[in-house]
Parts: sequence; C-alpha cells; structure tokens
Amino acid sequence: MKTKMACVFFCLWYWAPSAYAQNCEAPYAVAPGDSLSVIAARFFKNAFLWTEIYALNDAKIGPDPDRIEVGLVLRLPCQESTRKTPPQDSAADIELLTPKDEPSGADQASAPRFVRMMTGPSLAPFVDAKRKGGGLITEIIAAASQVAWGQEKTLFARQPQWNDLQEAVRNRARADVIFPVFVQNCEGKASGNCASLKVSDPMFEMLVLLFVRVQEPIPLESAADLVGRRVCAPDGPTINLSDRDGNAWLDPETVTVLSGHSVAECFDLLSQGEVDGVVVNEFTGRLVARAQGYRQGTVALKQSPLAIVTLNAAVSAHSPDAETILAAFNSGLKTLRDTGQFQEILTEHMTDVWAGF
Amino acid sequence: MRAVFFAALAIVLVAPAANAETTILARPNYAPFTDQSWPQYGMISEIVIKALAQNPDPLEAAVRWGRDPIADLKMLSEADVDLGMAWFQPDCAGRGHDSPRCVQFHFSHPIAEVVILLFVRATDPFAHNSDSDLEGLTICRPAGFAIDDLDGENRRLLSTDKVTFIQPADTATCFDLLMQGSVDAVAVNEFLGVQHLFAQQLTESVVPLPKALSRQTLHLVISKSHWRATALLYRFNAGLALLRETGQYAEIVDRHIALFWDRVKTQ
Repeated sequence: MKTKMACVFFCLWYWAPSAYAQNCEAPYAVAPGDSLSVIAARFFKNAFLWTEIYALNDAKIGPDPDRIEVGLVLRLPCQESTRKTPPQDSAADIELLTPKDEPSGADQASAPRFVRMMTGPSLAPFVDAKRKGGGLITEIIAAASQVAWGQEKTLFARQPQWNDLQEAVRNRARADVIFPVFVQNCEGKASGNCASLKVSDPMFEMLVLLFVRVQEPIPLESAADLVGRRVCAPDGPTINLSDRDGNAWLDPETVTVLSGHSVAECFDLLSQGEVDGVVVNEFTGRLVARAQGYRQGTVALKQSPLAIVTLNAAVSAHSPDAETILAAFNSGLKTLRDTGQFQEILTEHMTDVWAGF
Repeated sequence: MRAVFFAALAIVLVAPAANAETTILARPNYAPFTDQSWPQYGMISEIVIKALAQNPDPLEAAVRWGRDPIADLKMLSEADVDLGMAWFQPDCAGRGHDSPRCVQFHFSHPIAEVVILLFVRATDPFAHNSDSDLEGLTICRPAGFAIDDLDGENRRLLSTDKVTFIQPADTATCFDLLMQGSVDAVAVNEFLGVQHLFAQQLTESVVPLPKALSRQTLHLVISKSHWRATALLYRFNAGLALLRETGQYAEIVDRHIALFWDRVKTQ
C-alpha cells in the first residue's frame, strides 16, 4: 500500500531518557503497524511527541500525518536538541515546610519577603508528589512564581486536609496563597467563600462529573434525578452544584451525601453498592478508578456534568497584599503562556493522563 | 459545613480569562461548510458559533482561516488556536486508535453528515454495487482530506493494494486527471464535486455514480493538551443539542444547502 502521511511541526519539550537518545537523528524505517504516535511512544515514551517526528520529516511524509508508508525512512529528533525550557523542579525538589519551619516575624523583617504557597494532599493529576513537578498545577504554580517573584522567595507547604486550606490563608495565618481552588460562578453571592477569597487567572478548566456503576446508570437531566439517591463526595464538603434551572444537585433534604472519604474510598463504596454515584472532577475520578481497577465497572456521566470549574490560585480577600501578590502571579502566568512554557507543561502532563485513559 | 469543594475550595466568579474569546481555525474555500466568502462563513461555521453561544455556559467565538494543512495542524496541536473545524473523524475506536489525529485530538459530536461520491467520466461509467467493483481502479482525492473511508474498519482498499490512490494538491487537478484518463474516479464529497463540475465546465462530461462511496461526519476538534479541552467540547456538544432541539439546526442547514445549489448553478 502506498500511503502518505503529512507532517506538522515541532514542539519542544523535555522527555524521559530513552535508549534511542544515544543515537539521535539516526534513520528509522517505518514498520507495519507504525504510526507517528506509536513511534513517539516507543522511542520517547510520549505519544504526543509525534509532532516532533513530523516536523523533522514533513517533506517526506506530506500533509497528512496519519499516513506513513511502510519502509519510509524517518529521522528521529534528538532529545536534548529539542529542549526549549529548563526542566522544572521535580516533586522532590519542591521544599515542603512544616509550620514550625517558616521564617519568624523577626526573620521576615530582615530577610527578603517570602511568598508562602500552600496546597493540600494528593489530587492527581493536579497535585501529586509522584508526578513531575509535583503535579500539573503545582508545576505551573512553581513556574509562574519563579517568574513573578523568584523561586528563592517561594515557599511551598502542604496541609494534610483540604478543608484546612481556607483557614490557613485567612488573614495570612500560615499561607499567602493556596492552590488549587475550584472556581465556579459566584455571581450574586456576596457571602461565605464568595466574599473571602480573591483568585488568580485560571490555569485549567474541567468538568465535575457523577461517576456511576456501568450496570446501573442514572439518567441525569436535572437535580430531580438524584432525589433519593446516595452520593459520595470525597474529602469533606461538596461544592455548591446547580442544574440548568438553578436547583441544587446535592440538596441535603433529598439526597444523601456521604462526605469525609477519600476519592479511593468513595469508589470502593460505589463498587460495593453503598452509594449510587461519586461526585469528583473528571480527571481525578478516572485516574483513581483506573488505579483501583474500577475502570471497566464505572462510567462518568460526561454528557451531564454537575459543574464546569477552573483551577486557580487564591489569596485571602482581606489580606493587604492580596492585589499585589495576585497581580504578580498573574503576570508570571501570562509570561508562561506567552513564552510557550505553560503549554509545554500542560502537554507533558496531559500526554501521560490521556495515555492512561 | 458543606460550603467548600470536595478537593479544594469553592469560590468566586469565573475569572475573566475563562471567558476570553474562543478562536476557531477553519478550512477555507470549503463551501458550503466553511468559506470566508459565504454568509456566516459557511454552514458549519454558523452552527459552531451559535452552539457555543447558546450552551448553558455561553462563549464568544471568532473564526480564523487556515493557511495550509501542515501549519494548521501545528497550530491546533500546540493550542495556538482553540478549536478546529470541520474535520472528518478517523476510526479512533478501531484501527485508527493509534493514529496521530486520534491520539492528539478530541472530536465533538457529529455536526453534519457528508456523502462521498465517485465522480466518473460520463462516457466511461462503471457499475459500482460493491467494493469488488473498484478493484484495479485508480481513484483520486486531493491532499488534506482524510482517507479513513477508503481504509478503515470495514474496508481495506488501500492497505491491500486493491486500488491505486492518487492525491494531488487540489481538487481541480483530480478532475483534470479524470478527463485525461489518468484516473478512473474522483472520490470527494458531493458538494465539492458538484462545485468543480460547474467551475471546470464538466457538467456534461462527468457524472457521479449513484451509489455513495461512503458517508462521513464532520466534527469540531480540540487538542487533548488544551487547558480547556473537555470543558469547551462539552459546551459545544450541549449547544449543538440545543440547536437541534429548537429547530435552529435544521433551519441553518436548509438555508445553506439551498444557497449552495443556487450559487453553483450561476457560477
């Protein structure tokens, strides 16, 4: 078969070392069953890097990257030559302080001002000590902070419970900035959390979904469909979720909501039939379901999300430094976007995420 | 108290950047689907923009025109533009699951179905009742169009060398080759084919075979590495469903198809 594939362009990002890196730009002949993404996954452990291969060989392949001819000899890009930005700190490199390690008031007065960034326990793929940079959002936060005020002035810490984050930042008791916060529409709400925090520009947007058992799907058109159901909302209180008509999805008067469980525990309860659904963001939910072996038995009702949320950083609305910190952070974030570093970080993390789904 | 998110904190207004204008990269000169000189920039353009504007979380969108397939694919893969339209979807659930398009992009729900016809010389038509009738023939389709309908889950015309496949740079060349006798059929969607019959004055010389080669659906695409990928796709799919429910979809399609037939006859 004579099939042609076209090439696109190239993206520069860091990937894990591979044996091929030792012989970069050596020729590779397309074998039966190959596609550019299969080749990229094999040699660079990153299927999204097909764009790099395409960029180096677009003249041979043509305008359609889906078509490569068996036997076509390609040049594979070198690992180091494609790096555009320096590697971000790994999770192990991000300094995690305990409250007692924070600079004292006297130290702060004489030393450069530190910006204390605080997050919670694992929320894969966004905050995860096992992932590069401590997770997608952690890595973006670190990179933006580096631009905004310098890495040497940034201190990271982690609370053991997500519920403690807001208290940590209130009046800047233990943190200047907390992340990630889920941002939803607070329009018209001037009380509670809607009045207590100021948020950065968004770094990611996603859906909050109801995960159910495959054999027992729930028709999810409106809040009425959850009346009488038992739902698990991981790790503490649930978000205020409303359907298209403004009715609360999880009305405590009509829906039994189990809280205080981890995402993994919620999926255990789902598989055991103890609850009818798990309310969690689409990515954490799928990752946990897969890790626990529930991927085939559960389904996310993505056609009927409970909410669209963005992930942001936040400072206390009552902090005198709020506007200054936010402005600097947003400026740093904008620089990341303008230089392409933001997209590099996203691509690397989302490649790994989607490869597992 | 249940005042906070399950994993972080629930707060505040949607940040302004989340509602910034959404850019859509469109294939130019693809009437009636996407065309810079067509009303509302084409049928697909109008459907997409209205779907994004009418979903439960509406967005403003702006159309940008592609320059060439390679550069366009680069922009979409790198998320330099948000969305792309309108693309045929490979068999991502089947043989195409490893293809770069399936690996890199999310595809929306189908926006429109397109019939792919075989255009042949009027003096030299052939019977087309099954794929076996195509064996040994030379088929032409311009570059930049997917070939999954020729080599997919249920058909292996190319990978088994049952047909010879030619892909010149543009559609006009395909029809020139047809008239020269260098190819036996031009396999393109009905609108593109008919448009060229009139433009190249081939309405007496070329006819479409009655049996469709395939039916393909057109989709919106977004890179899986885009920071709003799933949320944008959900908004579009929800808006598209609303357009269908309200009858706006049917009105838009009917209007553009009628305009196409009016214009093609007068070009």
